[in-house]
Amino acid sequence: MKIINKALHKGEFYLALIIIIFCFFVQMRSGQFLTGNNLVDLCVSMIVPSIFCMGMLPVVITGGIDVSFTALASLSIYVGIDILLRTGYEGSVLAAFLLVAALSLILAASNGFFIAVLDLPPLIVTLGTMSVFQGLLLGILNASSQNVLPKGMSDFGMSSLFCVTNKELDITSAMPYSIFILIGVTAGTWFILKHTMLGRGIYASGGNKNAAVRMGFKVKKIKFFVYCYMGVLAGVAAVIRICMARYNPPGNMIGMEMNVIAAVVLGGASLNGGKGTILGTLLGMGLITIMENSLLLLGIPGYWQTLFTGIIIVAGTSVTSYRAAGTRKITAGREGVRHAEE
Amino acid sequence: MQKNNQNRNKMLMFYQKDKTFFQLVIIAVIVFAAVAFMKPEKFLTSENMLSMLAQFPQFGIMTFSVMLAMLLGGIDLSVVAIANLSSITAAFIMTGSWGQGKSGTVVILAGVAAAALTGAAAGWINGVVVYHFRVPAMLATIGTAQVFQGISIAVTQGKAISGLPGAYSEIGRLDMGGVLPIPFLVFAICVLALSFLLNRTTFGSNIYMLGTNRKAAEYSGLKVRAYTLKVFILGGILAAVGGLVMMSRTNSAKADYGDAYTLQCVMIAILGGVDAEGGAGKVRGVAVAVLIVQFIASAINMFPALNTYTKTLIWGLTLIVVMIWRMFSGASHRNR
Amino acid sequence: MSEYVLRVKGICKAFSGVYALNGVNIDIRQGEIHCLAGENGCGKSTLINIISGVYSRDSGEIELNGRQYKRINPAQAIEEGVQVIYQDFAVFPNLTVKENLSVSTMVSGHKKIMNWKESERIARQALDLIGVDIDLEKEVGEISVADKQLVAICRALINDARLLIMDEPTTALTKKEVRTLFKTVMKLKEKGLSILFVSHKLDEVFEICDRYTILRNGRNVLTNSVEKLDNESFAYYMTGRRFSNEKFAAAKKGDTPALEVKDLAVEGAFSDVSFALYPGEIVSVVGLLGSGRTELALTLFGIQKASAGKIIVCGKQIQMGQVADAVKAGIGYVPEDRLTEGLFMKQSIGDNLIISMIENLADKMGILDRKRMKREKQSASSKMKIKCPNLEQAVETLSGGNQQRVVLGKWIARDMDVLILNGPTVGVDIGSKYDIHQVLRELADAGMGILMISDDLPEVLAVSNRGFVLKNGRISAHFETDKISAEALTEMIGV
Repeated sequence: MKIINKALHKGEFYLALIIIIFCFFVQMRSGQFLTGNNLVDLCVSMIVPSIFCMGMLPVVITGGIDVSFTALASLSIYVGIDILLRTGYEGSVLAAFLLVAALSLILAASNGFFIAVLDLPPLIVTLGTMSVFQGLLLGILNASSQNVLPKGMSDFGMSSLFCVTNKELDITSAMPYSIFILIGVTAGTWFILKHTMLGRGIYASGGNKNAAVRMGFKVKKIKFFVYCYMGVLAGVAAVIRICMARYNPPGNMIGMEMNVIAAVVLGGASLNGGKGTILGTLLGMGLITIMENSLLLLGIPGYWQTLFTGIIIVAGTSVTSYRAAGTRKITAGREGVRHAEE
Repeated sequence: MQKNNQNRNKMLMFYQKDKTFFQLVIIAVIVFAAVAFMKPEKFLTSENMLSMLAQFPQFGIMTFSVMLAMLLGGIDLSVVAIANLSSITAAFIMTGSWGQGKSGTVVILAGVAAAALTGAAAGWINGVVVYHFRVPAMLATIGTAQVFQGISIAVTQGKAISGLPGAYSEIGRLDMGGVLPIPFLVFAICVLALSFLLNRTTFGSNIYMLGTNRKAAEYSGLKVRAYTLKVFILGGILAAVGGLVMMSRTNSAKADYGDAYTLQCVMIAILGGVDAEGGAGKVRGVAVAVLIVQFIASAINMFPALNTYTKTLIWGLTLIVVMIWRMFSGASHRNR
Repeated sequence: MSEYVLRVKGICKAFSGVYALNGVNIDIRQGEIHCLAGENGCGKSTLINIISGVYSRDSGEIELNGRQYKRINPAQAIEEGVQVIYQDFAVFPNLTVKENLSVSTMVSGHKKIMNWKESERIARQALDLIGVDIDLEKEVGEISVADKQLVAICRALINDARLLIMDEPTTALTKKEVRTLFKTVMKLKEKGLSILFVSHKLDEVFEICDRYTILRNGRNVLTNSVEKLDNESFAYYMTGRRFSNEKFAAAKKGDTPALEVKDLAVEGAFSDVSFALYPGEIVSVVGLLGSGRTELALTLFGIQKASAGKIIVCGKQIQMGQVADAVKAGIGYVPEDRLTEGLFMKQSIGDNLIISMIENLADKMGILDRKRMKREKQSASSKMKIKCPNLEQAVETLSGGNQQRVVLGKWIARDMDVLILNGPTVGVDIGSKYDIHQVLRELADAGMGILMISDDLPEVLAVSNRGFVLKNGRISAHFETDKISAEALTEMIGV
């Protein structure tokens, strides 16, 4: 009983409910939702944005935001592949991951420096770095599409864990190994947030920055860390994405950041900081992904996609923000009642 | 001697009162001189001057839209989406079968009115989401930008609409007596009207107060809801005007024109001395910042080796440098 | 072991050339409750920050537990057992009670991994130290102010506190909560803890402290034991001014009430509230927190919607539920959190003063008359006696007392008929408090009707001419201030 009661007070519960209802609706209309290949497809499209989300969540919990990570990842993956191609490296994909992650870390450190050390507003800083990264990639480097990937990367992109075939439509969907990376990243982020002092410091500095400083948390280091973490995960996700696509259209990821931020907020994180959970974030991303993927199943043309995603984001964030404002009022009211009862 | 001193004091006070503005004017002069020095044969021509006057109005007007949202302590990332949606609406009206047989002027005016209405409606939606649903302006406009762009894509199926009445695209090219391009005239009217509105009316004064402290504004009897909605509606209309100017210059309307303007507008507003926390920023500062950005953009265009994305890089760097500069000079907090 | 936990000698500290502390001495004995008093800006906070190692002193000596320090850092201060309970308690609203209690121990232990079992053990131990029971799993944002304070105290205690510094701990508490706090503090004293109790409320100082030290303008005024102190000299030492103690005698001006309320009700807050307020009167509303008094003020000002009843201003019934209507009708409101809810810090003094009347300074098109604006700014600032070189400078550059005047000034500029004040002097030091009272009296004399909600009974008795008591959302009694004692009034309010 207590558990049910607790669940009813959590945003995650309602989010899950909405997803289930929506899935049910799509299944009723198309009959194609609960097929093996559709479910695999959904998982596949979840991988990259969900890893982005795992990077974004700590940033948002500290009360910050990062809109530069897609540009950052686009720049570092382009440079990374270029280096691998030039050196003629034929080895495993691990090298690509390490190289791109390292490049991303360097770029992300600049975000960290401006935001954590100089204490500048995160939105405007990352808007700035976003265009710097984009300008470096498309302006200075004059990047053009990389159609051949290093062998390790294309092998990784082609290998799959298992395949599912939909006999009715004769479509086969493959589950890539990178699903394990998502699982690992999620588990790692959960462990950091829940079970390390660093993670508790992330929550603490988002909840009350001054108090966090007084309690001895190194708030600047914590902030610096979250932006770097965001950058590194963005780099990792970029490698996965490009491997799966098997070619690299430069700057193609730019624009995805909006959905990622929206998913984190839908999942219950507050842009004022201090709040946010892994489960909620995944559900938020799940809702957006299912929505986008199911439009085709419902027979709605592709050019309606932006509109529907936009509506989901506006409606979702409106409900979350409105509820948050409402709870604050209710708690304040309760306090009054408590005093009256004394 | 004494009088001299007094004069100097007066000048100093005048300077202190709007430091940001004077600094911006100085920067504008320096940038202008530097570009003129580098490429006098290209930059200091009347053609270039005219073409510059015709180029900046579209993003300049959109910047004012962003500025309004920033005065309230938010940010508007949906400006370009509103501009495109409005110009697409106008294009539909101007090219539709409705206008056949009617005079060109009527068709164009109807299109312009429809665009303004669309902009106002879009702004109103932003305002409702921000005020009634308590969504932070940045997040709200990320979402509504998708919605507005989504509508644009859906109704145009992602294609450009062209074939506007010839008279309309003339506007974009026409010069008033060979001196002032009409887009510039529109920009100038926006600057004058907005600066009158913000500096000389209760509306303007109250917006600055509301942006400084919303709760205190409420407790002082300000109609917070009405003001928030009005600011966003006005912002929407300005975005629509920007969109109309852009349409007159490209001679078509499309869902993803001017993508790069979002960042550029935020950057110009910050450069122009608008405080991202709300409550501070002057129209004249932003107007000068628009000029500075145009000088730089023209300079970049004079080096064919640099592609357009180099501009993006420079805008990003400028934004960061300006913020650091403001932080160290502490100007953003003292200037209204 | 030294007799003194803390000895501070000749401490000086200057910020950009201005002395915040100039040769301050203070010593605190083992197991003593020592009061530190002084007006805002006298150097209290600077002193606390120096003792706890946040600031470094320019010159002077600090001795903690018999050890001399030239320079002390926060970690050393904590090691010597110095713990500060800040006014905002420095708690994390988004974390559970458990985590709030254990977090400082975990951080100072240089742990990398969060051990939740250990955290629970520490939290239980902390609560047991003063024998209180708070749900460990609740988020701190959801518990009451008093419980937040207990969390902050417990958190301080588990770090082997020997000197507990409490910065104005009673400000946000109700009467009953203050009683509980004092019991806790006495318990701590019995355990041998020393406490530096920062307060400028004399009754508290009398009740709980052994000795006191008063600072003024960064210098010691005096240190003495509490027995040798009375109300008047306490105020004098703190401010350097003598205050007259005359009571307010209202001269009722006019027979039409400035404000008349009939059967006003807000569901779940109060009901059947009827009263009249005549021009020239100052009427107090007293009652416990949650008695409906704040809701009453908010309803009168149109922030909350009433479910029944009428509000009549100067004989005219007004539309309820809109602030703008209330303002137009002539009601002004000074919120409890005056500085954050009443002022536009970044904007100029002048603009702050005319904010509520700005619509009257424009023509029908909303175009402002600049000359009139300037005139009104000047007249408001001279009426409020605001000391500033230039009305165009930002309010944030003013001193606290002058800022308080600006908050009141914005209603005075408009010539309101009714002014509602919620806790007009909460958190204000004695000097400014006296000034605000003076202004209120002047306003009443000029014909304004003033409704004052206050917890501060001496203030109620000294400033208002009559009042009523709210209890559980109803008016339970009326009183006239010259016919009632503070004790009788306390009785009426109940506990």
